[in-house]
Amino acid sequence: MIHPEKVRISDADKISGLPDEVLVHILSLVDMKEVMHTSVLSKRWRYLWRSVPSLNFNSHLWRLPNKGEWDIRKEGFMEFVEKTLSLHDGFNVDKFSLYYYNPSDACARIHEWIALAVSRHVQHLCLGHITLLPTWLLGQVTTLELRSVRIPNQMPYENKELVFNLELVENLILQDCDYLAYNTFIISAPKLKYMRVVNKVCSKIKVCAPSLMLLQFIGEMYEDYSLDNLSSLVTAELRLDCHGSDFLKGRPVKKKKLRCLNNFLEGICNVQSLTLSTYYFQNWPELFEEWEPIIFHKVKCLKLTDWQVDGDIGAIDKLLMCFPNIETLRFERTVMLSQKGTGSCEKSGDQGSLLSVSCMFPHLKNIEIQNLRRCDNVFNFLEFLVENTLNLESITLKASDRMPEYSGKEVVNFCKRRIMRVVI
Amino acid sequence: MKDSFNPSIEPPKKTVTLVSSDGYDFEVEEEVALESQVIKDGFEDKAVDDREYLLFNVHSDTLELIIKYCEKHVSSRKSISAAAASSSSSNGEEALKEWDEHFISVDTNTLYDILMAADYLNIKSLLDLAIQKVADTIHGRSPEQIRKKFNIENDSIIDPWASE
Repeated sequence: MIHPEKVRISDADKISGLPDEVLVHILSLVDMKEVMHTSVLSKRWRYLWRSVPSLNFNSHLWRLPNKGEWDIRKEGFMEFVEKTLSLHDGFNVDKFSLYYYNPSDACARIHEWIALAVSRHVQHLCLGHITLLPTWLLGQVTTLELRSVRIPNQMPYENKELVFNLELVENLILQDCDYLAYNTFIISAPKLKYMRVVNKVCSKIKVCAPSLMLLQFIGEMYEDYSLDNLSSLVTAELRLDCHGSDFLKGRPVKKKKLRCLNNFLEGICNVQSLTLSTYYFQNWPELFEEWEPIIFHKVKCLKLTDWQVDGDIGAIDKLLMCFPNIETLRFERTVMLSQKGTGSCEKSGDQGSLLSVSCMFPHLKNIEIQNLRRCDNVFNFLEFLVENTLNLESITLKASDRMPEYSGKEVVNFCKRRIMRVVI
Repeated sequence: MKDSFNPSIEPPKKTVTLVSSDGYDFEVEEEVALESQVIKDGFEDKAVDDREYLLFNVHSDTLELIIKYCEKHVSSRKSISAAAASSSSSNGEEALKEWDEHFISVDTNTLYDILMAADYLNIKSLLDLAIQKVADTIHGRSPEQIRKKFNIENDSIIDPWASE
């Protein structure tokens, strides 16, 4: 009991008075090791851990003092996981999350845990840094997250394909996973709605997901894409890492990349909202001269990232030709090649390739440029757009934080010439 | 979206009255009050002139914060959707996240009051925010430090693992 003389109103233990469902909700956001810390707080907290709906285990918290990342009290951690799983009341477990920073071993035991979690109808499975064999268990959850998971190939000479049959999965997140031992990664997921792949390594990927609505590919490009049957896709995003070293690569490499990009774009051609990196389009214009453009009839909202505002803008308007029905056009994360940032740009006169067929974007209503820096190209480009629209309603320009003075003369002049609403 | 271009022809805002546990009246716009699922449920059944809610469990100090939170979320949701009709990410969302972070950086007692009120009024985003904040407080602390932080009196003498 709390001694009355010690208690002032503001000092009371209010937290222990919260209802059980709120407390277990709080604990479901904490690692199980720390949840166990709370079980010794007081009688009120003692058995709460048994009803926590989300079991999070991270071997990182079992590191030995003064040792490196990988030196963990392995046996202690494993026993803790097994003891917790056996004593937890097991009903209403929504999420099972396991980060095990010791990729070289314990595969079988980890599979047992996953099997146990799945048998208790876990909905959300999150695995990090483990070594995993492909298993049907993964397809039995609604949300599957694999982060830095290594998937070895036990029969490298016979088995070139890694197949994920994700029967029930609706949300899939793959981040920095290693499946280099396979040539081709095949994902078949009839119920999949959301898929996010953050990728460091390259291999071929095949996706068959007829219910997919939101697709994101971030990082390196795959060696090839095969996107089948994405008939439900609404939103897609392709955000490529832009490495300077790509400049040095020879024409065959570029051609291959271009083919991959083309395959990707063809796979998503029914999309309504698209986010696309302009990196390849701007840096390798010579390749796009031979490019057969894909027309995206359904795209209404287009976001272009990594636009080099002082680079070649001819490539951008060639790219824009693929989107005749856009209503909203946004530029995000614009970059500037020359770091000077003041005065006119090196290539400001380079607009020879600007097309001027009148009214190419009859539906375009909103244009937004974020992170705007001082550059004549932007205004040349805006004028080009304005001349090719009928129903433009607004232009929004947001200056880069580093260039606050930008919202000055040029913008005002531009507004004077164009009688329209410009939001700055 | 049209509204943002023609603010003058918008109809006058409807309001509801929220009464705190200590008897203060707060008049807020209807859409702000509707952030609370509890108010939203059955809102249409209530007569227009009877849109007054007695919140027995929410003190005026807390209610002021809750209204501030809801107003911010309603207004920034509008500006985000006006910025780009069909975009899923934008600067506005990041700015709102920062605002949330700042909003929830309060002392333990205020945090508790916000949490209770968000639970009572069923404002999911605020409840999640407050719960995450409490979880962050537990994270990385020893049992003794947690007790100190939340003023929890240790009334148990048994080690929970000893019995197993």
